Amino acid sequence: MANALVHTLAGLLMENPLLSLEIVPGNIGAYLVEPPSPGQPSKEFPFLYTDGHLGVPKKTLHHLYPLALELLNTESRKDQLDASCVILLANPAHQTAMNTRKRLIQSATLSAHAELNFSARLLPSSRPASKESILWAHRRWIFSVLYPPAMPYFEAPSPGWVCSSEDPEIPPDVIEKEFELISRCCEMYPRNYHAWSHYHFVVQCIHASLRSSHPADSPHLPLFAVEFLKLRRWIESHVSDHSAVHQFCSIISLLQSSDLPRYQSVLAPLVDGQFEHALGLVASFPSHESLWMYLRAMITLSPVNATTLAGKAISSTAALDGPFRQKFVSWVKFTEK
Amino acid sequence: MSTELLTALHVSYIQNLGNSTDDLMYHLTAHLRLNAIYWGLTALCIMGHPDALDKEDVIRFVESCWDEKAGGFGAHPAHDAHIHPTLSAIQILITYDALDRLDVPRVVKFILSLQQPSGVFAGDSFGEIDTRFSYIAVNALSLLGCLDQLDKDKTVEYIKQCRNFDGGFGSTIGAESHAAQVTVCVAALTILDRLDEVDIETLAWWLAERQLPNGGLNGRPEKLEDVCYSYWVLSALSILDKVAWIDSEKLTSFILSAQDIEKGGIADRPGDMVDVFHTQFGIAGLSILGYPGLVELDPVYCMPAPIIEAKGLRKGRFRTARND
Amino acid sequence: MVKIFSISVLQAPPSGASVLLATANDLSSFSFYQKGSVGEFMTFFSKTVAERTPQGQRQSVQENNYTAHVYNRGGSEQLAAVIITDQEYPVRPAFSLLAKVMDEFTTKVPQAQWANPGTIQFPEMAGYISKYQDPRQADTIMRVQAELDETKIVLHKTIESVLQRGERLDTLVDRSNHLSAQSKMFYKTAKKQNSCCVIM
Repeated sequence: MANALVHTLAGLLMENPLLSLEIVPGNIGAYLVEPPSPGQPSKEFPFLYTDGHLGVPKKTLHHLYPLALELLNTESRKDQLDASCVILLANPAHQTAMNTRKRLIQSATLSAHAELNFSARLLPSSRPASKESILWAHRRWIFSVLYPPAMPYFEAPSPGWVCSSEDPEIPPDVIEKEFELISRCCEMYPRNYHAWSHYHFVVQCIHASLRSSHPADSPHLPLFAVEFLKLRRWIESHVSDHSAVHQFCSIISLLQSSDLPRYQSVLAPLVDGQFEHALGLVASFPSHESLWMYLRAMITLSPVNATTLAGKAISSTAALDGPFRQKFVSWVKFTEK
Repeated sequence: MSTELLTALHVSYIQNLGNSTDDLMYHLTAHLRLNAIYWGLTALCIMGHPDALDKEDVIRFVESCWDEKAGGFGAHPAHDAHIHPTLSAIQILITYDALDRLDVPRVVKFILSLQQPSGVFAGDSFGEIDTRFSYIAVNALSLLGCLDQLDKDKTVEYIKQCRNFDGGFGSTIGAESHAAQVTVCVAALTILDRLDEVDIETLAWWLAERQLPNGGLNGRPEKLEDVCYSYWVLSALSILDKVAWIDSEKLTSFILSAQDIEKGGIADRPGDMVDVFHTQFGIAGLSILGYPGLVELDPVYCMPAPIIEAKGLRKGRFRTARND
Repeated sequence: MVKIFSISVLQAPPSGASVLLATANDLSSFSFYQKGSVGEFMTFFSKTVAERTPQGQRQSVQENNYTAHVYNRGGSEQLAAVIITDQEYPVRPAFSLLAKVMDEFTTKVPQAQWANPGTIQFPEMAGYISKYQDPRQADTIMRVQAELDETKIVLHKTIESVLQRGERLDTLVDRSNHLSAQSKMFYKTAKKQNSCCVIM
């Protein structure tokens, strides 16, 4: 009976159309309606499922967890598959459950496309899931199964970048969805380290596609330009997200390296005016370390003008006295040494 | 709130961790079990109570985590082998002077099999890559005396490319600088005698900026202070000989304020739930700061210094004349 | 995230319960099953702080990841407004917006209607919440209201510090008739999320 619920939940997680998935507090008792009616949660169906939105009561999930652990160790692949869904929803760091799913893909029990969908549901289902490194690594593994690599090995084009034979060639529409997924997870868990590292991977895939033998009107090019501007706006509305700042500066360094000469006319204008952008944001939000770090990076990334820019930054922020400005001034002195 | 380290309470907190194997939290953290034993045991050693756990019980548990198919250790019986619990197993066995219980050639083979063409290590055969796995490989091979079997240049090459313009290191090429990733990269380079790949001044500046007004350290800009970074930031600063760049007194009181004064253990921040991870890294931080009565911790290996000393593995400025 | 979750205009007599006259929420960042409860809490939080802000005073009250900025303009109209933002939304634009919203409200909605909040039409509120998600949009209104003295804004690090002696937030939540049983359960479990950083 209880095992049947593991299968029911797994079915909901894998097969039904789902608009969202979340873990809701408490036990199913808190959500039962009187009188019981069809389509509403019940003791036999202890989940909330309204208009494609699935809510799993936390206590129900924890009740199913040990049962799922037992099912994971059985011989039946169906049991293993269903058990791993439930285990990962309750504990997204369960490496062995994740590996079980990879083995099921390798044995063709589970399709890689279906797994990409499941993983996109799982990641934004809870804060721990959205920042779990093995879930993001799992997506990269699925991509490597689904899409063959774009190109042979190149050396590093710019610090912080590499084009390797391991980068899959992912179609632009899939990449767009990947960026949406990353954004949702970064809203859910701010400054989400592993989500932003995954962002770097996705940009690297775009970069690899641009470096390979595409014609000048590669569909990855407009995508790249649009995402660059989206990231710029993200920084304006997520002023404490240093991970985003880091990725933004990292892309600027890539664009500065002129690694993509074919696309210079589109890409070169993107990097103009970032120092002023950083300066403007610091003026609007002077109590945010991230933006001061952004300003520092814009100085560091312009080795030729670094001294001039630093001087300009110091004089134009003079009215913003505070701990971060003091830190900035000491940093300038330190780097000039 | 206490202004002293409550050693007796922390010892009993760690001793009691294994007594609740039926509850949900035990199951939900099973994927960290072997690591947790290493954290607990190391904390006990640093507090001068290396015999507080039943040695034979612990070793038998380590053996039960062996994954015969892969030739490495999982974090818990029936879990897949992974490089991280494999290092924990090695660290526990070395602490108990019980390396004879380990199939060293097979473990070395498992670890070496995880190096990727780019030089970075994967956590297991499915290939999640991370500089912490590179450190784990370097650390484990060094502890086992098999560093000569490693392609060192390739290993260094990848770590080198993870250096960012702020002087820090990230988990992979292009990832943001992160204090824990900084430490694993700096410690791996130290073991490989390649600290020349670090821009020491720039990195130490970034690390020193991790201290917040309340004395605690964070792992990267705009994050909250957290006791575990007392170890991650400090160990790197200690290797770079720049501990003086932060306010030790304020950090010490921050760590002490995160103790549970009733049941023992240390939390990430004052008032939060304690766990063995933060307990170990809080005590490790205090040891690096020279807190009275604690055994010295080796910041490169994150194990009691006397054990590393006895193996002749002390590095850089921690090397004594006896080792040279 | 720099975010406004809710803007409300209330009538807040010096003693007794406040009355919500107009409100707009942006709860797009919350999950499907949380939205309803969060909405109830926005109203609860707004009324609670408005009722505990003396006439003529401006306060910012932090609770968890939220900040309620409140301005009780007082006077014969007994009008107050509350804006609930995340902690990244800067203080000055928030108060400029509050003053602007109240001015606009008194111009557009005759006082005679206030007794029947159900009949009040003030669609401009929805426009404000979307336009001022970017606080830099408030620069122009800030220039007009140059007299705002930031040093007079009282900052409270928790809601407990604006409550009267003997009052506790948990008890207020427990007793509230405006919060559903489900919302009360969400509240109890939404206690501080421990963002543990186990990476090794």
